[in-house]
Amino acid sequence: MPAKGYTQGFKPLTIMTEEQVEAIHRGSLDVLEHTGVRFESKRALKLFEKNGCNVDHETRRVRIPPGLVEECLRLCPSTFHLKGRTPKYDLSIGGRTLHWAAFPGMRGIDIDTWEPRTPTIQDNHDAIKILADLENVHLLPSYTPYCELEGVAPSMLLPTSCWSQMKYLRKPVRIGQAEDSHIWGIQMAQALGVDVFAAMESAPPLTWYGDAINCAWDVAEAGYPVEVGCGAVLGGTGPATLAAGMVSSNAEVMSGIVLVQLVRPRTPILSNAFVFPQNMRTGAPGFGRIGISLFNVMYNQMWRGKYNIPTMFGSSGPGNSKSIDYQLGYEKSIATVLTAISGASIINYVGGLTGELSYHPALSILDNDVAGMIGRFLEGVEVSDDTLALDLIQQIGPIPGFFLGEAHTREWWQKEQYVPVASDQLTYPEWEAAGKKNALDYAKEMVDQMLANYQHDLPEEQDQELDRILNEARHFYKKKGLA
Amino acid sequence: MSVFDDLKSAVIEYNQNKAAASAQTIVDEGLDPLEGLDAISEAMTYVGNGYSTGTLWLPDLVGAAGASQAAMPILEEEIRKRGQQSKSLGTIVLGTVAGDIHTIGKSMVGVLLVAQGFRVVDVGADTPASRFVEAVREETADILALSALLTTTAPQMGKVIDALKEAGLRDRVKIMVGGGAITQEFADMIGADGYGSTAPGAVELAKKMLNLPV
Amino acid sequence: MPARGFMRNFRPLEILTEEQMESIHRGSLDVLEHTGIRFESEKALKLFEKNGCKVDFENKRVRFPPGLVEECLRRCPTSFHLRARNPKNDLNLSANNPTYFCVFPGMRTVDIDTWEPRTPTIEENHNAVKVLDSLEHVHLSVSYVPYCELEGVAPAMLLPTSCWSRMKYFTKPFRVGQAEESWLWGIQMAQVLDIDVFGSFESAPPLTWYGDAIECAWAHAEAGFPIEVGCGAVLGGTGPATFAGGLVASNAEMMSGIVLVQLLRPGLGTIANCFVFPQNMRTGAPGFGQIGISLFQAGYTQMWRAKYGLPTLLGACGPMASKLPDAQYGYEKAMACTIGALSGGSIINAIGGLHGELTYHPVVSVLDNDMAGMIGRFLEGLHVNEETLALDLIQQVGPIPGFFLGESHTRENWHKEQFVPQVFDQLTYTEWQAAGKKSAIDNAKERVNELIANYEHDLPEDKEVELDRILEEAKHYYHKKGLM
Repeated sequence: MPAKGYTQGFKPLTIMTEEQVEAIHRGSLDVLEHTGVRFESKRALKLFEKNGCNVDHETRRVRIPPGLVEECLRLCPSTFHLKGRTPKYDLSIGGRTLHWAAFPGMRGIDIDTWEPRTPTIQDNHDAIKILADLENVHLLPSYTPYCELEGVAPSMLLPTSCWSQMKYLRKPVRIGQAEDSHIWGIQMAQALGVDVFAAMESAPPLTWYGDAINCAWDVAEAGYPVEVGCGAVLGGTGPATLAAGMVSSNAEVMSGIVLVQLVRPRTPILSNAFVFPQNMRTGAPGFGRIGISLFNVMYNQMWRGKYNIPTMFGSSGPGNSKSIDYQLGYEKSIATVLTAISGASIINYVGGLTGELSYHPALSILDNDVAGMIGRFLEGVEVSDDTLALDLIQQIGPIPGFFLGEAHTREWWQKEQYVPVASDQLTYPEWEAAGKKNALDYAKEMVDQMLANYQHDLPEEQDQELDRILNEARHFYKKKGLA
Repeated sequence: MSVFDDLKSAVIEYNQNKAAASAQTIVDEGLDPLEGLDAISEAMTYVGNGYSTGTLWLPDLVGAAGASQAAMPILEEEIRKRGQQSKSLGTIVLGTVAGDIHTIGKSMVGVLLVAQGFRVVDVGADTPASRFVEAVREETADILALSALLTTTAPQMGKVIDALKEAGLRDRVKIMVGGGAITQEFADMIGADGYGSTAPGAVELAKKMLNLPV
Repeated sequence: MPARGFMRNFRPLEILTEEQMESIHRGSLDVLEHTGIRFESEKALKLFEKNGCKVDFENKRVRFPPGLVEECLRRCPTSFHLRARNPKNDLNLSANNPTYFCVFPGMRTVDIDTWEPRTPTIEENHNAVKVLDSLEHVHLSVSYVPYCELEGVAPAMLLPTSCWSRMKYFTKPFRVGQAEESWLWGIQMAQVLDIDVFGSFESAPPLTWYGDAIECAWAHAEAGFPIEVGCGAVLGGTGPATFAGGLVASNAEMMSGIVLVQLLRPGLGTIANCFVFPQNMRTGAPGFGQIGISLFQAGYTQMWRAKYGLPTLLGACGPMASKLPDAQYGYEKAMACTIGALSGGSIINAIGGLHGELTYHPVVSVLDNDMAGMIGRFLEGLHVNEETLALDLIQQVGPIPGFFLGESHTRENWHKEQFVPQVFDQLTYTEWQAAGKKSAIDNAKERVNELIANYEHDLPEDKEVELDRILEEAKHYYHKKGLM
């Protein structure tokens, strides 16, 4: 029985008309057919050519006929399964169900000064232990929670992160894409008998590099799903307008999907968007901006509504605020709730703080609550004789009647409400008496409790296998002069 | 299972009919009604502990209190007939002040107080000061509990306290105040003896005021 | 030309099916016909009886025939105008578009360093109002805003004083309150300034209307000002614990109030106000900030917009559980406002309120103003046309090393596509550290001071004098009643 995601109980939010959806779809096919996409991989170019694409080997530009694009989209299954370490962590991805993932940060943060600091491997293990026991975290992307670890050479970051996840998380994870790190991810997955999925992230505009292609190719051949992702910054690496940004992003993702389906037909696909409007003062991605929401809602309407392929989003995970404050609260939650109600399959949300630059376990606990709240909203309102409660309303009548002592209230209130765990719910006098604790204070306490309660349950021999694979990776990169 | 166990479990299960029936059985079989009140008290303590530790909630407290209230009048009637002393923890006059029609706050508090073993005289909503004074005198109240939800009606609480002083009754009764717009500063300013910001908090306060174990 | 507000250009979020709405609607008519509603007013009871309702005078219970209910709902206009002191702040209130943002009050203010509540002065009230008048995404206000308690002001004079402060410094429309006959002064002041106000008419759940509320509605109807009919059950306490049951009961209360209003003055502009919360089952207080608010609001807004055709005012978007504007506050408020706006709420009653209805701060109003702008940008949706699809440009730029930053298309379009908040931290880490690690709150504090310093008071002298005179009259009135 797979882990419970949140199933949407009402029609997803849409913001485009049918005609607008078609215009964007036509535009994407047009770009693929006439502009083409650049693939930095000889074997990919050969495979495209063999399947009827127009390939310019000199500029490494591939032009894909619309028929092939649409056929490959159709080959993608609408749902697929991901195996966790035990069946209760398995996931059924797609349909109308939302699952939650963590969002990474390069480094940790000092929760008093808000200054970034490089985390240790132990910090990484501890953060993962908390994610393992949070009920609203179902899977993790790669290099999560931290992308930078003290004393670990850059080439070993992804393998080390993966190794740490495999040891402590129990839930499915993504692998890749940099520096052939997927090789170790596949081996570790096979050692534990779990599923992984590949990262295949484009380089906008309209380009795929070797890392991404090799990761997707090898992982698909090994029989695992692939997450094909776009990441334009609109006005920089993508057009400034949302409509054109969607055309261009769609074209990138479609071209990646065509490659994967040619390598191994019917490979399950996650269509991933990591698109931001550009911050036109600094040039950085506009983290926390409303343009993210507009794009994600459009993206869901295209990929869930039109192509019926599961989607994954990272862009609502980070905010631009440097601390866990009001700004971060609204930046993350607005984008995430909009992405959720437009039909997302997976949202990478929990724990990410500023840009992709920081993460904190206390935030993962706060975000776990918000994920539960949004999940409850997704499930919608039940309208039945029981919930309409006409007889009860008649019986209670006007004032002085009230509902608190009724069996109906006792039976229903917990099904209707979602009560957050790490949240200030006190009256003013109680709050003052309790030392004016806010949500972050509760979350910090829970970090310590959860770490104390974590039970490590990976069998000894599997633990050792993971260590062996990590060592092999170390030798591999040393030989390459990268570690 | 004795009928006292039945009564206790009826309260814990929020079952008003079963609680009333058990109380009636106690009376019909000539068993000790005071022991019946003890059973109710144990049940309420159990539910109260569940609330304090976070496993049970307000609807559970009020549900159990409702079941207690179905049984208590039956037992108390028998106690009176036998000429025994009812072990009421104290008498509390409770009401919403003049001009204010909100009842939910005081109703929650009233129900919880009864279930704890207090004798509660609820004088209703939109109650003039004179009626409060009358009730305090007639019922020999230990505590007067005043409720108001609006900033515009809260000052009525001060008027009630003044009226008690005029009637020479202020020293004979402890006064607690509560309601959405009430603050500790306001309570201090009008000379109230205590302020509770939640319904269960009011029950704790009542016990403290009468030097009872909380 | 009324204030534009935010024009939603896509279908609103709908979480109920047609069948579900019908079930709830039938349930409400059933409650009105069989259970009935309690009205604490002789003249109201007589009016209902005269118009075909079954009235039990002893229990003050009115039972409504469904035909009368549905006719009165139909009489409500789907849109109407509110005139402000400054015509560019006039509002066009409508069931569908636009969406406006409204101020939400707090009893007291807070110390901005300790976050502890304290009683504000009249001067602080004036200054907070000046800030609100200057905020671009604040379009209107409710009554006793921003503060309900003022140092040195007797309780009976709180509403009139608050109203007087707004009449002086707020050039946008607002509501007049229902407590202690305060509408007597509100209506007079509005007539002096020749502006529209709207009256408060809020039920006492379950299924009850008290005298104050009825008198306020009656006076506004007679003066020809629109009325905001409101429900405020706490689900599991003064209303059923279920959302569906809560909608049945709340809608029934609303409909009964609307019947009264439409009998008094057919065709009068009516706003449907939702102030319903799930109950916090630990403290017994309303569950401020809970996701249940959004579930209820989404259903409520869908029914009142799509089925009954009234503009809506969503009050539960204002007060939150957190005691300070931290991450919890951010997510609580943002989600309630976002879902409320997406569902087609006409007025999002959110700006500035902090915890419960107990505290407010101008810094929070400045923060919320940015959030409102963001949500408003989302509502405005997408532009999909040849220019925005930019196929030729995509072809021209091609893959890497191509990029869009230097293109004229980018320069021309990015402003139209993006919303840039005013006070939020937009910096990179290094810039942020160099600038002294300023947060959004730090920036908001600065903006509050700027707005107060730059405020231009433009009320003509003679009007100002009139307002002062009416306030004095109110003082005498309450003095005579022994309320001061």
